[in-house]
This record gives sequence, structure tokens and C-alpha cells, in this order.
Amino acid sequence: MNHDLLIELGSEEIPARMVSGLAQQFADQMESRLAATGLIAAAATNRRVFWTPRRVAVVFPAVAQNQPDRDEEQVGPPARLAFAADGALTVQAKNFAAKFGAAPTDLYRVSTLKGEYVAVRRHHRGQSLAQLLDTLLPEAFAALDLPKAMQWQGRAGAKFVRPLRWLLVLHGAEILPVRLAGLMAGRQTRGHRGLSQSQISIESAMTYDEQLRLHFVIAAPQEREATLQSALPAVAGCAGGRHRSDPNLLSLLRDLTENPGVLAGSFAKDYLELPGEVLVTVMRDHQKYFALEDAEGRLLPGFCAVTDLAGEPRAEREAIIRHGHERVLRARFNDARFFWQTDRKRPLFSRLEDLKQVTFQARLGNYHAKTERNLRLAKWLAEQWHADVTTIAIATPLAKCDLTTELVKEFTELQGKIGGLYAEAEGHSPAIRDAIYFQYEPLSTEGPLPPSAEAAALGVADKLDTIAGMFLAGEIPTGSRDPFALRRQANGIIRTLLERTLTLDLNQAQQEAMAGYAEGLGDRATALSGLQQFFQERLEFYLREVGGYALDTVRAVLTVSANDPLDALRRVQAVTSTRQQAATEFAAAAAAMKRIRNIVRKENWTACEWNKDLLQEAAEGELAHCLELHRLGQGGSDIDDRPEIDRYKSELLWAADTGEVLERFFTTVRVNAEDPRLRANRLGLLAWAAQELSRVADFSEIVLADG
Amino acid sequence: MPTHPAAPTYQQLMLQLQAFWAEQGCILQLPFDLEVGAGTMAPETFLRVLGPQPYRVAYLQPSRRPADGRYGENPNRLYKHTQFQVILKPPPDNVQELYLSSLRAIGIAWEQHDIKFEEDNWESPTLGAWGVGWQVMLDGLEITQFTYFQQCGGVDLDPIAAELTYGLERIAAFLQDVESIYDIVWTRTPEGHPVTYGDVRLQDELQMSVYNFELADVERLWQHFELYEAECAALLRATRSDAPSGGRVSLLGAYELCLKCSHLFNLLDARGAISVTERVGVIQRVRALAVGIARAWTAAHIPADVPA
Repeated sequence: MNHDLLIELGSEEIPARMVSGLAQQFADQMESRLAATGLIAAAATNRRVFWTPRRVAVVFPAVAQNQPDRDEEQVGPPARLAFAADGALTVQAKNFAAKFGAAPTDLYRVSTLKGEYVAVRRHHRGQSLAQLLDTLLPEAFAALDLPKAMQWQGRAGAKFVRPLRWLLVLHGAEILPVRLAGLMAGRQTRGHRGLSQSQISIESAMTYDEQLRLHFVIAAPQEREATLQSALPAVAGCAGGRHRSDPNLLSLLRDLTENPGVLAGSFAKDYLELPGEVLVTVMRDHQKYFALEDAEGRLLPGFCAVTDLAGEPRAEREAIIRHGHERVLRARFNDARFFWQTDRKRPLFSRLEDLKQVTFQARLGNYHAKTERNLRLAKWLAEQWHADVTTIAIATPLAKCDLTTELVKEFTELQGKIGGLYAEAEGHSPAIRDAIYFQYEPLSTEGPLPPSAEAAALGVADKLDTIAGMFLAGEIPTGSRDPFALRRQANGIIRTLLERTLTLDLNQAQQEAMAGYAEGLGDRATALSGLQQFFQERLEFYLREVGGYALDTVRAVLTVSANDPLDALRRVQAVTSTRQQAATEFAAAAAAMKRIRNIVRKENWTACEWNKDLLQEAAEGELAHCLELHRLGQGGSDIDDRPEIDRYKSELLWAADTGEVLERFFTTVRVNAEDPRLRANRLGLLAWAAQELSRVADFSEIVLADG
Repeated sequence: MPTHPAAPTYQQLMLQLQAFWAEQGCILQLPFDLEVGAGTMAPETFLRVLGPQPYRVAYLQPSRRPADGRYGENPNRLYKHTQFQVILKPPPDNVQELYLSSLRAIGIAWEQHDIKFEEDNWESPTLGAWGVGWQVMLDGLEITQFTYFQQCGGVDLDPIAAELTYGLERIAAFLQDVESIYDIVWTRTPEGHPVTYGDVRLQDELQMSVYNFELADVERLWQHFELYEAECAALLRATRSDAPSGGRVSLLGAYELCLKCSHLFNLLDARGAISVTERVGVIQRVRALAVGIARAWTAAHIPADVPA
């Protein structure tokens, strides 16, 4: 009979960050194994996956009780070796039969492509689900990729993320007596820790989640999430505001509870004098509360906490729990207020000297020295970007001073922000505040950007100095190893340049940054080439992953130059639009360019020299004329006041149109001429064409649709 | 002053926890009589979790963290707080239920509260030790660290030990519903007047903050560190069978010296005398001693004093 198969692994509290992944993995592992045995259809994906902190479960519908029986033909020795001249079976044939437990009379002849053989039919009885599970379940369990494995039964015992405490395996209403990690499967599971008696008996796989619900466990994560999504606004509304939405926090709390409920708490209004950043960090990161805000997003003196105690709401109990949460939050806020007040007894600037005691990196000295380098670099950037140098000159020395404050020691994730807030409290201008506040931004592809050219200059200088220094010190990211988050910082620089439309000569900037460090720290030429490659990779990453541009377009552009990210972006945009606008011509030019590159590369030809008098064929002359005209046109580009992108587009359209000329050249001109002078002339002409056609992008990198 | 007249005094809390765990077959040990940063560092945990012998022990442990001192001004932070430490080796299957029962024994009807076991993996770089577990949250307050020890002194543990560490001041402040640790009622006089935590301990916090942050002589602290380190290393060398001492063993002696180093490191840290760069190096030095001791202890198969 086909019945639902339920497997529940009962555990001590599985960390919220990993339980959903483990449940999916477990379901996948079981599904593929069951499908391989033929007990479920290979495409059966209507499984149901459940998880809570204390359980991971999967229900497969319509699983057979037994594997079907099957026959298998086992082919043995060739017939000429199986039968003696008199037709009797040979020893070899008898041995073959014996090996498979068959009588000699069971042997029969089969014809195969290789000739006639003897064979024996073997009957395989299908195994029962219980027998198979006894092997499959431990296999599936052992195949789980555990984010952080632990042992609880000693070295010989099982490995999981927390101790397994019970095992529930039901096929329909029947217990399948399989073993796992020293546990024997039964029908027992456990209800909610606080709201139900501990042991409950599941009647059948069909009633699993409904029985658990009666014992205050909501096994389906989607349902817990939906509960939270409706309860949060309702409770926040009753408290006179709305909760500050936070999807990551929501799914964390979904997986930290078996029966989530929401309660609102409040705190004294005067804590709102503390910076909102600090209040929210305490509530969200330290206490897992949702901050309460008004319709304009201003913080209100309240919060929403998610408890694991829904069920019958009893006012008295809720009052006690609320009181507890409010008490803890108050203590945390008091700590923060103490730091906020203590820190401000000293002006930020007076802490600059203290930075000599704060190490930046072992070989790169302290933060005082870094501040000096940052200042030099930030001024250099500010001049290029027409930013206010006075703002930079005041903000940069203050920028790292918050590292010595108690508040940043307590809330390290708020570095920079705290410094900005202290600067503001000391009466510095908003421009100075912003430059300090946003110096570490952007931290991700979505995070906020430095809001001004001054803030961008300080932020880019800080990151550039760090990256250059680390490359000099040999701390270069490799594979998954990037302990100083240099990739993230380079991404931050590139995003700032592109989205704030700032031009930068990276090569020059890198040299400028390295000049801030003492000679002898590391080989500058090596570091420079490493930096160029590193930034090119980051730029490629940004253009592809964030910009969504085609890989070959990006490569075609960056091969020409990746030195100014903003310029590279404009060229990528121009190529993308030209590819759409003049697809056929573009493809022809790309094909021709690949051909030129192949020839020039094969010959290792670099000189772009040619002589007009040696042009013999019409197509040769046409190409030379076309390139010559283009060169003359280039001369006038100084007074071309069109935006770069338009110039790039017309350049590309010209190159695309030249594809035809090149095609004619290749059909009528023999590059490999017998006269060496002619050959050299033609190679020189092609090398020059390659150079002229690749001012914006290298067409030979373009991948052609038809291969 | 406490609004919960039924709540246990601090002293009753200590007694109730000890009584509960004594009932569960734990040896009640005395607090270790040297400076330690946590109950884990006492030899009753660090050395007993090594090796194959089953062991159950519980003890109070004053735990010194010089950098956390606040001159008695901060209502939530202490230089020296008190841990109640339980080691269950190997952990029984119902270890979580036992723990929850212990809460009931000190007057916490946990079913009436919002209780969560939130992931918190413990690691001590100085001891070469780590484990996985939770911080137990009661209405948003962390009341206990619950850890399954996996490795100690760089040695894989077999069997595993469960470690429960209760933060006594926090629990008492919660039960008595006071806003400041210093207002916790420690006990009552025969006349029924409250004796507070502040009455008993405030001077300690104040004076030790002065020492830790201001008066401790950095140069001499370094000298002490180096002396203890050298003696510890010498003892470790002497345990080798080819040593002139003939392999006379005093790993407990070595471990005490190692703990001295660890505390001196904390003092130097509180004095701001260790830069971030140096930090890693000094931690490595203490760790090397701890790892050496744990290895030698395991290799020596030191038998349990108590029948298994």
C-alpha cells in the first residue's frame, strides 16, 4: 500500500541561521535516495518540508511499502566454452551457475552482438521500505553539509549541529523501526517546551502537523512567518506606531520560535536623545527587537519583541514578560547612554594623538599614520573632483578618532557613524559630519553612498590607502581568503566612482596611495601590477553582476583599458547600445577583428607602419583611405563637446561600418604575399586598423551568436 | 529595593543552585583560589574535561575581568562577577530538562516566560578551547551559557562534557527585580534588614578598578608575566621523561602558573598596554602553555580521584 512517509529528526535547539538550510538539504537527500530505489517517482516533488528550532521533518506522499520484484539476466561465458563437444556443460559453466546460486539446468543460451553466450535469470525480491530506510536514512543524514558540526556522544558518535534526541518515522500509521545516531524510531515527538506536556504520540503521517498544532507547535515555517507578518503591524499599531520592517530579522525570529507571538514594550522618552543608530543597533542586533516608528519613520519610544509563547494570551503572563524585556533594554540603553555621555567629555580632536596607540595593521603602523596618509590622498582626490578641500582638511583628522571611544568599542559596527554624530554634536558642519559618517560606505551593492564629493573623497582615500598598503605588505586576497575585506572595499570605491560619476585615473591613484607608505615595505612595481589586476576584476564584477552587462562586452571594453572606471562604464554602455542598434554590422566587424587579431598575433606583428605606394589592390586602398579619414576626424575631437557616450557610440558605429571594408579586404587581398615588402605593408596596415578600431572596445572579444 | 518579596536573596540563590546540582550527583567543589576570568579556567573544568573519566562537578567561581571594571558606577557591569559552573561529563540525554528544572529550583517558573536557546558558540583562544551551544535567554536576558565542549587545550574531547554557566548577579537582579546589581539583597541581618550586594562588594569594585586602570605598574606586570611564563615552561619541560627531574610531574603547578599569565594578560590589557598587534602574540604565548599542559595531562592518563 502507498502511504505518506514522515521522518522527523528531533533535536535540541538548532541555530536559527542554519535550520532552514538543513531541512531543505535533508529533504533533498532523502528524496534522491528514495527515488533511486523506485519507492517514489523520480519527479515526485510534492513533498512537504517542516522545521522549527527543535525539529526538521519531511513528508513524502504515496510511498510504496515494498520495492517491486525484478528479474535480471546475468550473462556468463561464451557458449563455445560452456559446452563440451558432447553438449555437456563444462566446469566453467557449472561454476558460473553455482556463483549465482543457480542449478546447471537453469542456464540458457542468449545471442548477443558478440556471439552466443550462456546466461542465468536472477530474481530480485524488492526490499521493504523499512529495510531500505535503515540504510538510506543514515546515509542521507551523513551526507548533510553541516555549517558547524558538533559531537555529543564522543568521538565514535554521530555528528550534527546539536544533539539529536528523538526520531519519528511513520509510514501511514505504522512505525518503521529504523535507527539513527543511537535512536530508535517511534511515534513519539515533543510539543512546545513551555506550553505542552513534553511527549506526544503522532497517529499517522497525515496528522503530523495538525497534532503538533494542538500542542502549540507551528511546524510549517511559512505559517509562522505569516503569523509574524500580520501580528507585527497589528501590535505595533496598538502601540501607536509601526514596526521598522526588517526581513532578515523576521526570518531569524521565525526560526527561533515554535509558536511566535508579538508583544510591544516601551522605554522612557528621554532615551530618544541617544542617536537613533545606537538605539536601533541595540534593539535589532543585540535584543532582536523591531524598533517602533511613526509614519515619517521617526523612532518612537517603543519596540516589538517576538516571544515563543503565543497560544492563549494571558494578560498577567504577558505583563511579566514585557516587564522583563523592558528591563533588559533599559539596562542596555543605560550602558549606551553612559558611553555617549562619557565619550563627549573629550573633544573628538583630542583623541587624534591616542590613535598612535591603535594598530591599523602589523606592518602598516597605527591609525595616526593612516590618518596622515588618508589626508594627503583625500586632498589629492578632492582637488580633482572640485570638492571643498577645507572640509576634507577638518574631517579627515577626526575620521578615525571614534575608534578610541567607548561607544565604538561597544558597538563596533557603528564605527564612522559614531564619529560623525560626535562631530555634529560638537558643532561641526553637516558636510564634515557626512564625510566622517559615511567614510566606510558603501558596504554593499545596495548600501548608501557617500552623499557628497567630500565624503566620496574621504571614503575613497581611506579604502584606497588600505588596499594599496595591504598589497605592499603582501596581504593579497586569494580564493575565499580575504581577511581585511579588500574586495568589499574595492567594490565600494568602484560603486562610489560610477554612481557618483567621478572620474579617476586608477593607476595614478594607486601610485599616489603607495607613495604614502615608507619605501621598502614591499616591491612597488609588483604591488602596482597586482592592484591593477585586482581593480580590473572588481570592475568586471561590478559591470557584470550589478550593471548586468554582457560578459563579452565588458571584456571587450576592459581589454582596451580599465584604468578609469567611469570611462569604462560609458564605453560599456556605448557598446551595448551599438550592438543592439547595428547588430549585423557589429557582428561583421567583430568577425573581421578576430581575423586581424589572429593574423597579427601569429606573426607577432606590432608595427603599424605602411607605405601608400605599396597599396596595390582596390580594397587595400579603400581600407587605408577609410582609416586615414578617421584619423583626421580624430584630430578635431578636442572641440567635440558631445557627451563621451555619444562620441563613443559614433566611434563604434564607424568601426561597425568598417567591418564591410575589412570583409572586402579579406576577400580580395592576400596578406601572405610572396613579395616580402607587400606582405609587411599589409600586416602594418592591418595592425593599424586593429588599433584604430579598438579605441573604445576590442571587437575581437565579442562572442558571435553563431559561433 | 526589591519589589519581589518572595524572591530568593543572593545567598539563597547560591545555596539553592548548589543543593539542586548536588542532588544530581555533582561534587560540590570550592571556588578556585586563584584569579580566573571564568569558571571554565578553573582546573575542575579545564583539566577534568580531558580524558575518559566521567565527572560531575558544580562550583561557584568569582570571575575577574579587569577591563570590565567600572569603579562601581555602572549598575550592570562588574570587574568581578560570580559564575555558577556545572560540568556534566558525559551529558545525560535530558541535560536540557535538568537545566530547566534547576531554574524552577531557584524560583523561575520558566514556562511562564519567554525562554529561548539562541546559538552562541564559545571559544577561548587563550585556552585552545571551543564548544558549541547557546545563550539561554529569559525574557530577553541572557541568564546562562550552555556549551557542549568539543576541544580543550587543543585536545579533542571524548566523552564530550556539557558546561552550564549561570550569571548569578544577573539572575538575582532579575528575580529581585532591581535595576542595579548593587541593590541586590545579598542576605538579611538577624533583625531582617537587607544587606545589599553593594554593602558587600562595592569597595572591591572601586578599589580594584583604581588598581586595574590606574595604579598597576605596567613594567612590573610584564616582569611578572615573564617570570610565571618561564616557570610554567620549566615545569612542562620537567615532565618529560628524559628531563633531569626524572619526569616528576606537576601539571597542576604548571597550570596555576599558566592562569597567572592569563590574568596578567588581562591586567595589561585593561591598562591599555597591549596593542592590537601584540595581543595576538601574547595570546599565543599563553595558549602554548595551556595546550602543552592539556597534551601532557592527556598523555599521562591521570586517573580520576573519584570512581566512575
